[in-house]
Amino acid sequence: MSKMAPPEELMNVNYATPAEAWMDVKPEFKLGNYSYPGKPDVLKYLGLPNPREWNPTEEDWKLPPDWRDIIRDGFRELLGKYRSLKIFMDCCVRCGACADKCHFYIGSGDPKNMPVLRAELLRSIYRGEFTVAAKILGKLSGSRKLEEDVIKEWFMYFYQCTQCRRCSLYCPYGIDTAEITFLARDLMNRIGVNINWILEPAANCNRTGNHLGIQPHAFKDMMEFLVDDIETITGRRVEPSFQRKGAEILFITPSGDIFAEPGIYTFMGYLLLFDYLDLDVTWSTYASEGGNFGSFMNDKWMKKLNAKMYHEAKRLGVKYIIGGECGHMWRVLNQYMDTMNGPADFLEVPKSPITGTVFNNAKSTKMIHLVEFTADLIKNGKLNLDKSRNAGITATWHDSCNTSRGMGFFEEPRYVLENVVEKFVDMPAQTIREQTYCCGGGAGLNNGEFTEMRLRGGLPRGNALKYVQEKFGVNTMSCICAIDRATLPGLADYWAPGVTVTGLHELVGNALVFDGEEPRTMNLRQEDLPGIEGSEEEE
Amino acid sequence: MNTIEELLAANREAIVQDWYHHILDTYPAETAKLWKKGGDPFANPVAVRSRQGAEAVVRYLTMAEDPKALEAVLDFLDEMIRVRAVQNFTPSQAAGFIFLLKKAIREKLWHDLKRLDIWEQFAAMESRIDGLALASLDLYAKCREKLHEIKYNDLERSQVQLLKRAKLIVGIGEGESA
Repeated sequence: MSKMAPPEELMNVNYATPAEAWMDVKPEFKLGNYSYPGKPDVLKYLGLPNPREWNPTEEDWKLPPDWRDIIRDGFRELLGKYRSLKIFMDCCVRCGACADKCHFYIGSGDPKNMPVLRAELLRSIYRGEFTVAAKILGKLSGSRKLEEDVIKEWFMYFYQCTQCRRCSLYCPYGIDTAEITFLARDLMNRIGVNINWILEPAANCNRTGNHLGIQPHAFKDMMEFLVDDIETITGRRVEPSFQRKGAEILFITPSGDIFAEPGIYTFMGYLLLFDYLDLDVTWSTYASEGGNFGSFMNDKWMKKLNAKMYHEAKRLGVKYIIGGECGHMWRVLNQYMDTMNGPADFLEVPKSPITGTVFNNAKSTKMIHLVEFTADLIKNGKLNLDKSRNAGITATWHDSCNTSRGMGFFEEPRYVLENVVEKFVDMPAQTIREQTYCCGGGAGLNNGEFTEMRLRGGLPRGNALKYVQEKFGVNTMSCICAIDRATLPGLADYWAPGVTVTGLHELVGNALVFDGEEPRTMNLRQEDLPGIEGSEEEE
Repeated sequence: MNTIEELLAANREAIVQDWYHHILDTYPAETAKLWKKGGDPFANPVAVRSRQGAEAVVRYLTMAEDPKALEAVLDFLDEMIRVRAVQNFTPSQAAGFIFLLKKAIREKLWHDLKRLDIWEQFAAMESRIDGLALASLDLYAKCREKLHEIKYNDLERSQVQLLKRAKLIVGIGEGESA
């Protein structure tokens, strides 16, 4: 038997990561940490350059021969067009306030997910290519030259940012990393470096009216099935209309609501509410998408997809638009719509036909969120709600980044929620409202191949959820965003197993009591109501 | 102090601290530095979970073997591994942090072990740690299975309704018999 090494040596298990300067660490593409590239046909449809088959794990990304010039010229153009970009490139003092605020950083520990460093990926090129300091000081000034590895790094990390803007909340200068990500993606699009999960939905939306590529007749068919389900549950036959000219209101919601669980239950909630109010509302198969994946590509496509909603409102001659439970639809609407496509002078300032409330906050865009409309109804005593139909639920509220940080909906959704469930508990203060943690799926990152990274980024939200689950018995997390509804069930299953995810209007639909209605025995998921004969609880 | 458990108990805080630092050193240097500051469990969950896990494991080892205590300590390990299982680590890096405890113990207790000549007890203690390492591997595998289950469920949630609505598939009606 050979002599064994001394224990100290045997025990020298060293997993410590060697310290390297960040510029020298190359990104490692592994299944689970990147999204699949844009398909050539989709790029061609969108008129984007350099359509080709390529794979991020391979060395050669098949960039166009003059890619450096394209990026330099593009960067120069964007710096001229957006003064904000120039300020963001110049004013960061690296104070570190944002460093540990990103959910992807908190979950991964990868320094390049620190917002300051994410921005530095772009800033280093800005310095290297556009400032005098770099010519004198070189790398010492934190600058570098544009090489292919830089593009690879951009692709990795600007597609590991959900544009949730939590970091900008803590930045003393108000640097908006989401906008830096917008523009970095815009630059990458110019050389054909992009992800399919953004491009294809945007292309579909332009072509068939929604991200999923659901054709008008299929959209109508799917709605019919939900109408059938509503009849099974409530005994009522609701009658939604499509493209009805002269209707008072056009309603637009994310297409995810019409086909994917648990969004469909929220969709049924919308239909029930409109029926209850006998609201003069119409749907459109042309404007059948509230989301705007164009906003994850560049300003041109964001503008075009946003304009589509307003074209339809104009064509139908409605007075104003109500939007369903969506997240980034509201970012686009509140931050960009007015300068891109506004003001929508051909529409009227939204006024609730039920309560008479005028929504002056939407004076220019003429579009309100359903949650403010519903909160106003409840406040004015216009809804007969029975909380016991959501009995057994201890709910918490997930503030979707775009509706909370992006537009300040803190109270309205909580007010609605508290009126439809018996028990409501908030998650810890530093994880909600303007400080809310992202679901990890925003800005086009809710695709299947990105699940592992998304769970990593979902740790802070999952951690807070688990806390209220254990401490207060929370079993339901409600939200007003379709990407949340798609992403949070998986997040909850991993970090806080046993918590169900619902949209807000699913719970409203459950609680809504119609005059002379048949007593309900099940909720919108067709689960027996507690205390009803034949239900599991009574057995 | 004649037993290794007593020795461990006497040096518990220092060993926990060393192991905790070794664990955080598995992350990039900038991150390790930042996370070692600890802080709020909702702002720095990885560090807080690692710290709590390290404390629970070392406390468990200071006591005699007990299946109930083992169950509780596995819950703590699960909290740590659940995080590491989705963090870009190889399986050995994700679950193998437990071996860094051996390093912490040896570095701290080696001279006392020599002095007291309690190598048999030491071997038994290390075997317990090896047992925890194997359990960690099971926990890691469960987390990865969960990850794939989530991927499958996500796919199903987004597609099955579509197939039903398109009348490409139909379910069995209520009360329907063959």
